[in-house]
Amino acid sequence: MDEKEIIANIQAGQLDYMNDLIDLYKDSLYKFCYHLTRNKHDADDLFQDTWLKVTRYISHYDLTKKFKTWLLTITANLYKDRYRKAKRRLAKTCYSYDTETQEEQMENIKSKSNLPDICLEEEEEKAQLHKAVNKLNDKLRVPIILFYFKEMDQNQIAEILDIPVGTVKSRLNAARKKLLQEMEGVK
Amino acid sequence: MNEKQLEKLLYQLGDDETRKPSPKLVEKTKYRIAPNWGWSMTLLTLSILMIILGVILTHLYIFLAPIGYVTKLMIMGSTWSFTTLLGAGIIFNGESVKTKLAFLYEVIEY
Repeated sequence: MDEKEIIANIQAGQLDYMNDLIDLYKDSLYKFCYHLTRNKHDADDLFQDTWLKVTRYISHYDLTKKFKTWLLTITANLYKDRYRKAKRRLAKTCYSYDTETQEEQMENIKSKSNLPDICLEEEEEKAQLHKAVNKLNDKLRVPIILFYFKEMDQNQIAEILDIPVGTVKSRLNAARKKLLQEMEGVK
Repeated sequence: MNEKQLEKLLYQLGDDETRKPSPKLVEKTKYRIAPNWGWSMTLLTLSILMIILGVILTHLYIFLAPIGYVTKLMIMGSTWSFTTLLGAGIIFNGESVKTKLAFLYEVIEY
């Protein structure tokens, strides 16, 4: 059964099909939640809340549109509404995430230490870049996540974030500039 | 590092992320979306009925008992505390307050 059929069945009132829809998108959505919230606890909450909202509003979903875009729009809005407000709490979790991620990345680097030097250097660069992305403010970070990590095009990002395409372009440019500056600073 | 190298690394970062939701989280989400309404609702109704019945019977018994006013108040106070604790125990039944409140909210919305 394909995605459209599953959604049509849910819209017809057969909630059991939600399980199939969750199975279809769980990994991709969870990655997005994790990128946004930067910690497991909030990612779990955001993941659950997104599916609850999807269940509540799926009758409004237009079958002619791409479901993934709609799903990520809900997630981004939930994140914006609930999680961004708790700035103080997030600031603390960011710190713990950074430490946790750095440790994880260092472990990765160590485990790959038998690789040639070029690979090792690339891994280090990646770790620094990850850190730099997490340092960006949400206005710049979310478009970067959607564009590079979720591989959405600029029109889809504009739809998800409810901003003009031109704004998406300028935010992506600004983010890239900042990241380049950060990476220069590292070297 | 130039812009092309940066973009290449950014794409790689997205691919590197292999985090997946735990099976427990997925199951919990599925349950919250389509819980076993029949059993949950029956248990919840039974619990509330038992509590109401218990409170009425205890109050009747105490009001009719040949004891002083202060003693009656004290017994009723402790009965209320006990019933509240028992009721909360039955209703929450080992689940966190947050989970249960979310469930009750969904029951009301449903």
